[in-house]
Amino acid sequence: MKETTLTLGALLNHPEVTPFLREDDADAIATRMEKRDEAPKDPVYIRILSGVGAWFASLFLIGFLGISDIITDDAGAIVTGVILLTTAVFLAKKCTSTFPSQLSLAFAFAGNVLVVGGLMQVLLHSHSSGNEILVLLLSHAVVCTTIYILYPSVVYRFAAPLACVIIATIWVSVEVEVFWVMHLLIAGEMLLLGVLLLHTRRSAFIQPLIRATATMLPATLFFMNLTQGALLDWHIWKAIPQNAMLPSTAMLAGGVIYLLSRLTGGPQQLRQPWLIVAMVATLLLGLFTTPGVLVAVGLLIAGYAFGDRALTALAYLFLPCFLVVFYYAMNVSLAQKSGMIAGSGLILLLVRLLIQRYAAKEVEA
Amino acid sequence: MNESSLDTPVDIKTVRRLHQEGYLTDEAFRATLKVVRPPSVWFAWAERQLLFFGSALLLSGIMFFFAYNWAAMGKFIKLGMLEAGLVACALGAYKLGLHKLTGKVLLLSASVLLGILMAVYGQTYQTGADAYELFVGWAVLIFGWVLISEFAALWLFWLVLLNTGAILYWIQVVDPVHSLDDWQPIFLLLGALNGVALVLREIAVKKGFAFLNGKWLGGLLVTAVLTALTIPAMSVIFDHHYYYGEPISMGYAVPWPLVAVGAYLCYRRLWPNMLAIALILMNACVLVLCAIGRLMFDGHRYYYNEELLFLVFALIIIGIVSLTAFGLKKIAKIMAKERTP
Repeated sequence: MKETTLTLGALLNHPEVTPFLREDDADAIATRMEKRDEAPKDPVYIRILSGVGAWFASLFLIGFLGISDIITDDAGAIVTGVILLTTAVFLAKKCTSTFPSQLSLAFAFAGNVLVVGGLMQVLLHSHSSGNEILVLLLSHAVVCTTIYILYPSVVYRFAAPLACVIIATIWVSVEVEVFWVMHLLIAGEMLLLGVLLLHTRRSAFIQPLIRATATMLPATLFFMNLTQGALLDWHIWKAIPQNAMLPSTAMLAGGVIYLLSRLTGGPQQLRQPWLIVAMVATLLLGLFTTPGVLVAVGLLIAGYAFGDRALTALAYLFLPCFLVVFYYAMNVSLAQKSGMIAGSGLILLLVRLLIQRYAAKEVEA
Repeated sequence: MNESSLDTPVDIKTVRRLHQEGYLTDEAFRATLKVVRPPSVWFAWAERQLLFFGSALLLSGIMFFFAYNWAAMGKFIKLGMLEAGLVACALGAYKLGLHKLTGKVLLLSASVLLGILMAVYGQTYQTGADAYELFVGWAVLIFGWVLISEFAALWLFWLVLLNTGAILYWIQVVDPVHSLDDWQPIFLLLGALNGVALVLREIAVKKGFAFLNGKWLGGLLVTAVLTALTIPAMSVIFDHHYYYGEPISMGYAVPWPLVAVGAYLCYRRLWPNMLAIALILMNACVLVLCAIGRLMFDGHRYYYNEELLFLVFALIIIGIVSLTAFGLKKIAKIMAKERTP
């Protein structure tokens, strides 16, 4: 069954919709659809090209500033960075053509790096070492938050928060070295994604942050598994507890159940048999499976519910990568892994079988 | 009410946006959701995704199981279980029929299990076969299934087997002791292999083989061809033997521009496809920047202010990327106009 191919007018005149419309809703919607208040969005490949190009350009820009002795100390780095960031914001607001936009993005990346680098040097002069990455994280968080509000670039608004989480992950793994803190990071990312997806208006301001958060969650899980496995022989934790991933799995199962209940219309829909099946299956997955499977399922559901193909693509991309890394995880035996993965597969296939039965009845009804 | 603004096809994103901006009450929003995406559509989607993910996880779990029990399992159990699985999947595909997605997925599973069976057989009886023979033989044996499946994923899997066989053939037969200076021919071979697959796919789509029409398949094939041809071109650009020793033959860089120009013309005129054009132009952008960077930074001994090189190259990157982005937007606009009657 495919989605409807109705026009908006036909939808508003549909007998199931008309009783719920207020008197002026149709006219207001027509007026809204006429407005072109948002600039046409660039396709994703242009955004990727812009982002990568600007990033490399910013590195050479910083190289130029460093080698030419324009920046000689921390204060110089901060001042130059602020000038570049201001120029970036100015260019973005005044010029919409391609070259100035690209230039402003390169300035933004370079300015961000210089300000963060300068702040780090200033703060570390007066404190003992051993907290470099924490200082980097806090500096970048402040700069990123400020520039996110001022600088209307989708690429910056995606890359900067993602960089924040990458630095946080590096901080936890290099300076903290306590595994359970990663669960706190996962919890934070999951909560942020839930709030942004379900309780915030998806404006142009928020949308890049949603995509960044949706990328952070699988990336962090991927990293957690890489550091427990033999794939890169990269063991950084002081100790890994038994059932290391259980807290994250439980939290993510709860998150997926909440997502399902919100998407289907709240607690009053909980009596629907197919929803009960889906929630029980999620609970079973929470007991059985790895958090990677739950993240993939959650992203898939969210992607379809919100018509966001990027989230769907992320789910498809993440699952096979996760399975490869999971194969090499050393805290779980291969027999257990086999049981977890095959068991998860069987649960999903069983849910499919049950849904087929309920779907037939639902369609008849 | 302005009729023309309501003539746009409605999708879930539009409905959610109107609700979030307050144009639809909660009840109206739920009612529109039921019309735009009724439960039957959700169930159909859920069935497909559960089948795909469930099968992928189950197959992966089975592979993990075999890996775990490898040493302990007797040869008859190993081979017996694989054969039973293979027969069950093939029979299931036959019973359900290949017009159903479940049937196709079962046939794909049977194809995967066949390869695992061949690998286990080769290892158990120490046949002495080279690894490339496994992959090529695997591809040959499942070709009949691939032909009748009408399933793009199985075709892609088959192509991956051919690519793997070609790479292993190079490593194990053509250059087993890694004595050859030039490794670029294998990439040109992969480029040719995937290029033929791409052309055949486009012809098949034109002839009405709708199952090959997925954007993802075309994008993947274009990426595979470009990647295979870019690597030898990059090796010529970054050849450190340029000033001493024997430089790499410039001929390895020739296929890329020929194929890129040809592919651009095909996707611009014959088989309009903006994604393919974007991939080609982005790839060109990367190669041009690498070439310019190599020329600039290699000739740096002739410059007085070397730090200016960094600034100039930064501006060149921005310029070329902007030009590429501008070009892509322009082409997209022109192609959209050409599509509308």
